[in-house]
Amino acid sequence: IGCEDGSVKIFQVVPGGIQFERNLDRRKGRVLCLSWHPSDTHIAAGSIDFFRVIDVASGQTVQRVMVNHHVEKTKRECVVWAIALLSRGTVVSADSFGRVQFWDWQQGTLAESHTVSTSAALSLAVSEKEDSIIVGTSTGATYQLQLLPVKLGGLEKRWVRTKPFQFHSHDVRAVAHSPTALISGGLDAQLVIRPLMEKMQKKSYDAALRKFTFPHRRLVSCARKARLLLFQFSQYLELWRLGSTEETGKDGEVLPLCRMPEHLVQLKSKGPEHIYCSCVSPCGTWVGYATASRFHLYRVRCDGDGVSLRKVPKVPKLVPPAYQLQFSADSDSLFVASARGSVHVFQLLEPGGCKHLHTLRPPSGCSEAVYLLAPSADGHWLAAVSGDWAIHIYNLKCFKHHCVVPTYKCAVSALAIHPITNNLVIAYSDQQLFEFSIPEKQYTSWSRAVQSRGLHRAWLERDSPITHIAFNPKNPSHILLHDTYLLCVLDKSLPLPDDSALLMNQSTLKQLPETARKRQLHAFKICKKFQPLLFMDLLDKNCLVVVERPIMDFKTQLPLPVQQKKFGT
Amino acid sequence: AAGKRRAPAALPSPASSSEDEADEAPEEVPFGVAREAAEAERKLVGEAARRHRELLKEKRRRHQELFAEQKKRRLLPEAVLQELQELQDASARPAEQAAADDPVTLGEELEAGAVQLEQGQAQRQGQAEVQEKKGKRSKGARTKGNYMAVCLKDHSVTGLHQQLAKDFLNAQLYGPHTNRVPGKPCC
Repeated sequence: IGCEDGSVKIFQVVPGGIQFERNLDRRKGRVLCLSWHPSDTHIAAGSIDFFRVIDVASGQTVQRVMVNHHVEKTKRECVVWAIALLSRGTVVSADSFGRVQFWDWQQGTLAESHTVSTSAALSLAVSEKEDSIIVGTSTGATYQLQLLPVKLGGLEKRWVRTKPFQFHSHDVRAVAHSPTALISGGLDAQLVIRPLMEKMQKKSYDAALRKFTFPHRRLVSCARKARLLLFQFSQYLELWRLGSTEETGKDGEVLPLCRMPEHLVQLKSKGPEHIYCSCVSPCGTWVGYATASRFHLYRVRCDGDGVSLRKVPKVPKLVPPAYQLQFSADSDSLFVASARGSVHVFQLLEPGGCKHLHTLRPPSGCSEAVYLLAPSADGHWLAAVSGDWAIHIYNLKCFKHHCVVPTYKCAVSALAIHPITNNLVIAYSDQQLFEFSIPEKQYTSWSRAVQSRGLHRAWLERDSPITHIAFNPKNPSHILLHDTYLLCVLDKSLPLPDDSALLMNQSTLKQLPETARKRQLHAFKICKKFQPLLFMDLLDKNCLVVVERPIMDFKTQLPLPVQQKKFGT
Repeated sequence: AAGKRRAPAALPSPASSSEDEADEAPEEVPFGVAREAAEAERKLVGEAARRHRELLKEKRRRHQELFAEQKKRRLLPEAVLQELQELQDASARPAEQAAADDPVTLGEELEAGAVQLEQGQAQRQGQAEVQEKKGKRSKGARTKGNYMAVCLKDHSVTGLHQQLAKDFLNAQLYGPHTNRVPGKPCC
């Protein structure tokens, strides 16, 4: 770790955290970036106007190189924002003058200098083969530099700025380089993955540019009976009561509300830590949230027009606190997803208390934490997904492990248990859907049919994962799901579409006469009207709640971007 | 005369070679050139010294301001201090029952105090029995409860470092030379 006072400290990574080992040579000047040599023998530390290289064994600075030559006689300092130490002894620096420079640190000489931007170069990442570098800048542009032979087939190689990209509107302060893609994270809240064409075998979906704006996890939870929504922000929670209407209308109409939605409570998290997970109970009288270090539980009381929140004291200290929180359907228990595959079960007590009942664990152990939970409506079952992608199902009546769902090749993005059949519906991050019968411990016949038929290509090529699954009490064959850009009512009683059919055919169907419509009807009823979607759930038999988070709503609150010259203005 | 005696600051020294050099007379430097060189150097050094003084002054001023701010924030409000005093005189109640009645006044939290106490809490995670209660939440009516106010490690220096670091980042990334869209940076 490099510090404000110019010191570089070494910590050991131990189970449960880090432990201070020793201080390396301290020099005046805040340390802004660090890089280990691949063999761990040296560390390069970037600072203001210089960088230095430290020999790890002795802790001594073995070289100090000034980087502020050749800049115009400005009064500005040259800030080294990012640094990398390559195996052959080259130091790569990215600085506030928009330069990426290559140094021979032992000689203390500059080998190559590339000015990639008029604004600061803020971040860099080197490929494992050390022949490609990605640089992130203040303007939001990223650049690739590649080590290429000067003459075709020749031995001498030089760094060349090959590809410029403008995927972000704001500063790019984090970049990464995988074997096949360039990855960048911007202050514009976007994560971008740009596969490198030359690494792609064929032109497939894998070669597409991927942009992510919203987390692939639940940020909204819903107390259906109480008609409350809990919004999770990074430093606070908001509890809202939904409005209501007495009117009815036709398809597409906006009905007037007789009661407006109410912002009931804002609950601020103490301290600098972000809120990691949160949940409201179905009855709406319990709210829980967890940060990296603590877990908090509150009792909600609505009397008349006022709402009060009381903190539940003596909540058991969990180490680590919680990766996911989920209340049981009857609001009597709280499930807390924890490390090493375990799930803590707490009993909720009146008037406001919490008692640890049991800890569920997978029988053969697990090194990863649980990150998704799904309780059944009858309180009998609990499904838990851990970081190793295993889905374990527990019997809550006797607190015993029931079974494990057959392993699949990627992560689960959402799962839910059907209230009547106790079928577990699973959405995977590769867009596959499975239905597993918990009582029978096997996939259902519908699930097998889906797998043998295959899902529609347009469904599989969707860009964002399913983040929530719900069911319709009025129609047991319905599965409601949504991703960031669409919501879908999947009707298991209808035939599955094949690739030749149009997947999103709702608008087409509306225009067809009854008989033609019946022929073209298929299981996937998709609506793309609301986006970007953070949440969707069924409140009661007539009412669906959908939460959109328009991008412009938070774009205006982002830090200032660099002024971009628009061509022609 | 002064110019002749002093070694010329800005002019390069003659390349040293054979021992013949030692017998040669020193190079003649015109008085004007040498004086200009000396003046230029004095000016640079003077300016650097002045900037350094300014920087120190600024730092000292900032430190003072920050300490004053920290001191102000660390003091719990009068009402809570009063109540703590009263409670110390009263007999202790069983801890379990105590806090159950505590209402949380929405949004009203003594941020600085709570943060500092929170940090202290994290430091003492190993302890099984957590007896100290935070003097947080409502500034006014704190009805019941068993409290023990504790004095924690001085965090004012860490706060200062953090502030200076934040200022540095702000100045470097959002300063006047960065060509940002007009507006107020919200860092």
